[in-house]
Amino acid sequence: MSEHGDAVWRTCVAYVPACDAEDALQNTFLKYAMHDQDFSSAGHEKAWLLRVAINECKDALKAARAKNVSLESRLEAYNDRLLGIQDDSTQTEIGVKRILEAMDALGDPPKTQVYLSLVEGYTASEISEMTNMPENTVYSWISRGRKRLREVLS
Amino acid sequence: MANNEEHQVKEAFETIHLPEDIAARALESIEAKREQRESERVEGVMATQSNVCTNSLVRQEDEHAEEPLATQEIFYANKIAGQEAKTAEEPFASQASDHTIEASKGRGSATSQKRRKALRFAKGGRIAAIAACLALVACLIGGVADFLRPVAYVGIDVNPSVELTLNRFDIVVGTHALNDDGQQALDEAPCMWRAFADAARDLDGAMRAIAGEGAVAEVSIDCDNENRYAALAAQSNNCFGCKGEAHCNRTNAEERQAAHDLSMGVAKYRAYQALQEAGIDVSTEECASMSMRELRDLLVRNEGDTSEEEGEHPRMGNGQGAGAHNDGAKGHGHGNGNGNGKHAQE
Repeated sequence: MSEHGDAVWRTCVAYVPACDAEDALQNTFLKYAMHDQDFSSAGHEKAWLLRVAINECKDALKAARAKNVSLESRLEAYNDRLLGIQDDSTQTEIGVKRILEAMDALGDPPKTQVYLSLVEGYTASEISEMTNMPENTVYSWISRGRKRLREVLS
Repeated sequence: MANNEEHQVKEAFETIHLPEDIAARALESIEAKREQRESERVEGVMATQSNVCTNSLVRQEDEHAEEPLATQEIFYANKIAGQEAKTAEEPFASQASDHTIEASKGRGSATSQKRRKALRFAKGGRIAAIAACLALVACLIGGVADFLRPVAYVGIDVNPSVELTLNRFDIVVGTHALNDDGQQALDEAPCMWRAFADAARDLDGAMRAIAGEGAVAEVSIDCDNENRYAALAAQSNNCFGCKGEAHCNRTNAEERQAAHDLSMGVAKYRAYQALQEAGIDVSTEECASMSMRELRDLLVRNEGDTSEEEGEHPRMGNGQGAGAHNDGAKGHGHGNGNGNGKHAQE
């Protein structure tokens, strides 16, 4: 958890409010603890964790939709302490929330593809393996997602 | 995306870190789940052991009916029944009856579990076996269909005219006699299920025996694959050109069909068309009954009458062609390149 905890937490927070992100993070590391097979490398391990985390978050979102929880009420749950923002500057705090809102507004896809590409630095081919999507489709989603993100942020 | 915005997004996410309290709670939760799992595993092992002991209890009861029950067996039997452990002073008969009932329940439940497992396994095994058989049958049918699928047609016109159908392994999977002589040749040199080269060699001998000396063999190959065509052309030249004159040309399905409609091979059909163009009046029946040598000579004679200088051979060897000639130096070179060759006049 010390090695990949931040990355998994960032991923969870990008999808769901911090309170749900905690559950998603716990479930992710629980599955990691129960995972029998060895990972070929640290990169493989991280990619596995992120994929599980994204799936956990999507399940949480489905459950929230099923309960008709509104987007606004979820966004209100964004709390800087819960998010774990370590920079005290107000500017950064506002920026993080705004960016999370903007990512949320993208829809999924291309949110997952843009996040993995922009924030975690995965290549389209790696994202294609992680999301079980053809590589050309991933390229297309990343391109569209970035364009939409630019429009939203501006 | 502009680099600045990209940088801002990345920076924003990098300020997010896993809060220590959340990490601690997650670790606690994982430890708790692990312990729960471990305890469940241990309980499962103990339950299995108690069933085993119960079964052995039943067996021992049959063998040692007069002996008092051991304390340990009493303990396990009572554990299943949920009763308190009885003292060893109690009469064996009552103990035996109680324990027999409980042991029977235990035996019954263990047996029913085993039976259910066996049934599930048998059912699953049957389904898997059926699926495997169906897959095998599908593979066999597919394999047979693929083996029989024609990929090339080789027509040989000498005067016996035949057509061989080849599969992807160059094995003859079909034969078609286009005239009676052709049928005779096929009877004398059966070609089915044989490699093309072997079949062609035997067929050449049979056809030339029927056609006589000086026969010309015209081979027409219908094949989409360039490499396969080249290989078949080379084999044909070797097989049909070793004992006499042979020419190899390419054809297609339409031309083959048109020729077969007139009960002749492709080479004869081309000769017939060439004669028609040259204004030579010859019927399809006559053409079909003539040998390739006779047809060629007829064409040559016609050309000789019309032109004394050039012996341009009309339209024999249409399409790609390759010729082999073992008669001598004269009069060869038909069907090279685009199928038109100069014929040296004497």
